[in-house]
Amino acid sequence: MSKADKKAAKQQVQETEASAASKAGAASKQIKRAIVYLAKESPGIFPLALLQAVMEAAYPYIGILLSAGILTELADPGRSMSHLFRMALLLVGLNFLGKRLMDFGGQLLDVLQYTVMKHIERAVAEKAWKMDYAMSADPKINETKQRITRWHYGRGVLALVGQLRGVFQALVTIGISIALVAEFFQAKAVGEDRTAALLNHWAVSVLFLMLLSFSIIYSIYTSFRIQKHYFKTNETSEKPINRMMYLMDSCFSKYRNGKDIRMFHAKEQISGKLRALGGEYLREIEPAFRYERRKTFYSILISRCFDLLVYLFVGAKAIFGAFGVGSILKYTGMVTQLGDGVTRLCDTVRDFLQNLEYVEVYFRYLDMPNATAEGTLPVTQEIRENYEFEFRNVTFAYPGAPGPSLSGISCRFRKGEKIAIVGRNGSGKTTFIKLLCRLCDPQEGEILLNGVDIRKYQYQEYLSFFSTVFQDYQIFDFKLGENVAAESEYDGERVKEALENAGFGERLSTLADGLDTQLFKRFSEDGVELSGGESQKVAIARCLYKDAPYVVLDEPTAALDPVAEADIYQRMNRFTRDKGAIYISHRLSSCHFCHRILVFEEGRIAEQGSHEELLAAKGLYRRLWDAQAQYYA
Amino acid sequence: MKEKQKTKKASQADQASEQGQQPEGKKRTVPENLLYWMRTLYRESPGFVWLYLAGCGVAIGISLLGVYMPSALVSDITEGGSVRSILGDLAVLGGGLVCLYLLSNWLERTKGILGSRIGQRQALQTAELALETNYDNIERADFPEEIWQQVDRHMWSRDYNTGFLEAFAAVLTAVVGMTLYTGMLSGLSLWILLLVIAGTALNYVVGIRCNRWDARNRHKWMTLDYKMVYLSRSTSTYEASKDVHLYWMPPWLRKLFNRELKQRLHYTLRQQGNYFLAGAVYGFSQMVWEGAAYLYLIYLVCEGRLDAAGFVLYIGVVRGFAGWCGSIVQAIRLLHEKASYVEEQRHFFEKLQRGREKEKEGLVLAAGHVPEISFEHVTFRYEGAQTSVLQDLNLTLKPGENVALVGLNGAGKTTFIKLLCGFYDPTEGKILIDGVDRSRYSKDSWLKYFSGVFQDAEFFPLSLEENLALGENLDLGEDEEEEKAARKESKAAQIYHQEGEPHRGKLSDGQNQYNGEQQQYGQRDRQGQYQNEESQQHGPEQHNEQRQRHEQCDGQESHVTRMDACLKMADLENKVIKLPKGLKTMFGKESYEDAADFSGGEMQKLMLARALYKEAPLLVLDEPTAALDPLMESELYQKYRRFSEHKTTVFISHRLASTRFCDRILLMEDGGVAESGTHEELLERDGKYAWMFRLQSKYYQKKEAQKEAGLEGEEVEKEI
Repeated sequence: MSKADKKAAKQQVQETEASAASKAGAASKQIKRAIVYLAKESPGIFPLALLQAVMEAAYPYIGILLSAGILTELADPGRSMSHLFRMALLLVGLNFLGKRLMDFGGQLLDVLQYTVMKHIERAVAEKAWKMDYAMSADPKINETKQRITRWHYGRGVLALVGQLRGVFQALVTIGISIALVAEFFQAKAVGEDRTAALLNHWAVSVLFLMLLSFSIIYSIYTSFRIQKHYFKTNETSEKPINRMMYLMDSCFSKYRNGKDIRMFHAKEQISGKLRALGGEYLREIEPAFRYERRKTFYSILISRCFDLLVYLFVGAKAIFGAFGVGSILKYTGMVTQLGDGVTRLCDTVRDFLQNLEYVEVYFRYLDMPNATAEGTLPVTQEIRENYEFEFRNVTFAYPGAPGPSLSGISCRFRKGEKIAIVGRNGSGKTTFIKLLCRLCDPQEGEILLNGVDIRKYQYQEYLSFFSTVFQDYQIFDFKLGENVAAESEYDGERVKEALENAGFGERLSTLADGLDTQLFKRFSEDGVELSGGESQKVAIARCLYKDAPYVVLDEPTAALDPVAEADIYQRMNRFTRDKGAIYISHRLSSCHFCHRILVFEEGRIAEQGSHEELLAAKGLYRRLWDAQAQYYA
Repeated sequence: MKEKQKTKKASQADQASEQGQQPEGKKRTVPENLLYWMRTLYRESPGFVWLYLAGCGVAIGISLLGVYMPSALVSDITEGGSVRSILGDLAVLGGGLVCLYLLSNWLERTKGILGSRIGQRQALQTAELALETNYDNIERADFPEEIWQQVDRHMWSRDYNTGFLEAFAAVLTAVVGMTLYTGMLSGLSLWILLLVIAGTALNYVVGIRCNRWDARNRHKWMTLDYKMVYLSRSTSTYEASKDVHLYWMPPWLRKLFNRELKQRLHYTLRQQGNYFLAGAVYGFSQMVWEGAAYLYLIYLVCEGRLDAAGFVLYIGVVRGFAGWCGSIVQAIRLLHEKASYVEEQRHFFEKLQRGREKEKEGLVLAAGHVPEISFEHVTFRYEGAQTSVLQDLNLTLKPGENVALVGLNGAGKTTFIKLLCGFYDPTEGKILIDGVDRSRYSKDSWLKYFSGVFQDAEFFPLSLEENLALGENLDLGEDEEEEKAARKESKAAQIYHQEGEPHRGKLSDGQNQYNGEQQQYGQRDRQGQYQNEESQQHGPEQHNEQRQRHEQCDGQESHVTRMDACLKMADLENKVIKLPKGLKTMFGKESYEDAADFSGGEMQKLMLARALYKEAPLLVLDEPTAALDPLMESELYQKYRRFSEHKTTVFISHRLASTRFCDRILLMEDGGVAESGTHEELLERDGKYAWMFRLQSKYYQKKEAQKEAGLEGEEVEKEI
């Protein structure tokens, strides 16, 4: 690292410090919210965590105090064997009981935390399910989502449980230790010796305390520095490692890409890239490892040497009769505990401070407003039975795109009308139906349903208006029937009917488990793989099952052979007889079923009209038609 | 059956790989696997293994000194020692202890550093093997999960490196430690040790029962875990979002998640209950032996047979002994686990090596030669499948012939392509190349003669030009950021070497090679963005560099012009010109912020451009036009003649229009060729092809006819 780099890094660190400090004030609200949130998720979690903290803080002292007592008494010539026996039994008994209590509390707490973690995972997914479509395409939001799911126990809202527990435990430990330290200094060495006087001298006690503080502070400082290093490293190393994993994913999870890897002999190229990314990752993380190795050397050296000093001091005082020999166990144990307590306190506080950001990120994610949440109007039965859509001067651009995908679109269509949308690749056809289905909202202009802006309708009700098959439809790895119904409880007869109407009937009859057939092999060896054509049929069946007033089909037959295609179009036509429908297809013959054709060109409606009208107009449609029809003439 | 089809050489290769493979059902033993993996690791990095051995010594030393030191201090105090004697003991024992602690810390951290390197190296080796293994070995639904598990065990959970050696070292430490402590206690009484051992045995038995329960149920809760992960991740993606919204799935998905979670918690609670009981049993046995040890030692002290220092020493020794006992049980359990992982690793590797031809020379086609390929009585069945996809298929692709392959979904078209390319070998029958059995070519070199577009193809998260020239070693000028990385890389490589990390095996060779490439990158950059700065600094070298630049630019220019030509052919030049980063544009939105955004149709064109970039005598196109608009589709057909010149092509399409441009149409049905001939011939024959063609062309033709007859659209509808 060059000097300039170092300087920049330092500045960055300072900046983050400053911003962390300013955030801390605002964050107290977030913490309160987080605590309420957690308490609501699991009311027992905080009381249990605190109880656990007290037990864990107190537990080590059972062993320390009792074994010290035993040793002192053993060294005493006037010892009593029965008393010693009782102490020994008390020691092992208490150890046993304490350990069981701690086990029980700890395990229970684990289960509670696990449950809450899963609830958080669910909440994150739920937010994603419901968030505006445009937002789910935002890589930043996706990254936030992924980050939150990666945190688990370590960071975020849930980590507060562990942190509060840690702070509480540390405070109890420190409290007990300080009481013992006071006792230690009160015990005076006996004797006229110079050494004894020295041991009793206040300056020695002060020096001892100073060394103790130094040792503790140094180890805390080191761990702070190391953490900061890791924190920084984690951020810079994330990119190469994610890219590496992603490249592997595209080679292995999508194993069908293996055909291309082999045909193009891309093995060397890809493995070279993997190595490069892996090397980059190691270069980012290894300095932090080495830094830790170096830094911990000194902190271990100092703390261990201080331990020796404690032994010396306690031993010397014991020699001069300040206390019994067992105290060597008691006071060395106490110093260790004190150090542990202070370190834990600082570590936890540091984690807590670092974690504030994650808590904030989590709530910010949950709080992201949905543009779609604003509508309130119901989509009444009346509207369902008689409706008209109107696009009024609609313009839409994808965020970050150089130009609009749709500009100045105006058109109307109503119930019973079948519309075909044709046009070249990238002319805005799919965008048009995304706007219609309210997956995106236009930047300019408005879309009206019976004269009312669609944004004013209650979102879910509005969505229930459409049966759709998108170009990139998704069939999930659930059961067949569930996929068609998009529900776990469904009307089996209707699902069957939908599948049959989608041309899946024959295949269905070969499936032993019928509608309960698990699709794909992800979760079960018995899962059934579907070919492209078959899963398209399942998607069509889902669309039929929903039986909504308006049907939107975006290239629903691209993967089907001509026979299946003709079949589906016939069935679709029957299905949409008294509904409204929009078809997008590159096979212009499908426009035949449609009353009107909209021809899209570079985000505008270039032409519209019936097939005959458009042919006569000799515009783009004519060109498209001729291009295709010439081969079938 | 299979052997019969193969030439001698190929079958030898097969046998060789089969010999290394264990027959199904007979598993390798645990020690065998442990030894194998130990050897592998030692070969990979002897230093890494020695670190762990050193760690054993340090751990024993720390334990010993940790027991001796308090005892010595107690002895100093009770036996009327002086401060000086305490000082002496602390200096020797304590000083030793501090050194050991420091050493132990250094060892631990170094293990971590080396472990992450080795883990990554081995994960990459696995990845490389998976990249080069025969395609049929990875076209399995469980392959992704398997390889990710392997990668995870190498790189993240580190079961294969640090985890494995830790378990090993723990056993070694415990065995040595127990022997030592037994010796130390032998002067006193051994029955306490027997008590400890009995407790440990009890603990072991209980632990085994816990493990059995875990093993029996693990797959159940793992499935639940997978399902929950799937539910929370895969359904909440951008791709799924449209359907999740339009079919308003959130309440349903939530219900599903809750259902899985409830079941999962059932297992969690049972498991935790088991652990608690096991802990209680262990705690109880600990209470017994610890109590017994205390009472016995107290008794000895009271009897005067032992002093306080001895008491401290022996309590420490008993505790230490119990500690070793506990850790040996734990470590053996871990070793068993790791051995089963090693078994899985070996099994996975063997699967990947199945059918691999080791450096098979094979035949080579003359440059520019287009061979004749014939399928003779080819029958093909996927492994484990009941029915054959191809059944007694006979056909010949003449050199330079353009063939259209049509048929219903599932007729076996794509499988035919897979066999043609050599991703699979026929189950029965043979494929002849210019009359010679295909098996005399190596799979790898046979694929050299192919280029094409597969149905489900995708671009890789690489740059546009890397994707277009996939597999070619482009000597690319990199952008600034990566240039920096390249400089760092060579620096890091030096460090890498200085650290004394031995470079072994294929991978590290690759790394060196990579460094070499990086240097070349650096040179190119000097000619590019950094030219001014550099030429100022290195004035005298300028001339030399310019010459170099000319040479390299020629190479670069040719690939850029070729790429441009291919993009033009695929009608993409305008799109690419608009990209701010041009050919350097990255793909893969998930990991590159400024990744390209191509629509389905555009992606298909890109695939075509890629297929054209590779100049191969055989071209296979599996539905290359499904997402293309009519104009583009038509243009493609027009161009098809041109880019299929001097090539044998196979074109699969559901759009029967495409067939017009082919010399011959093959209609596949039920895994065989049902009809064959030109478009006109087949129409005349009035068979299935003619039927399909009429079905698809009905509207295109009818409309013309209708117009003449003055018919309205309604009637067409009625007809249906």
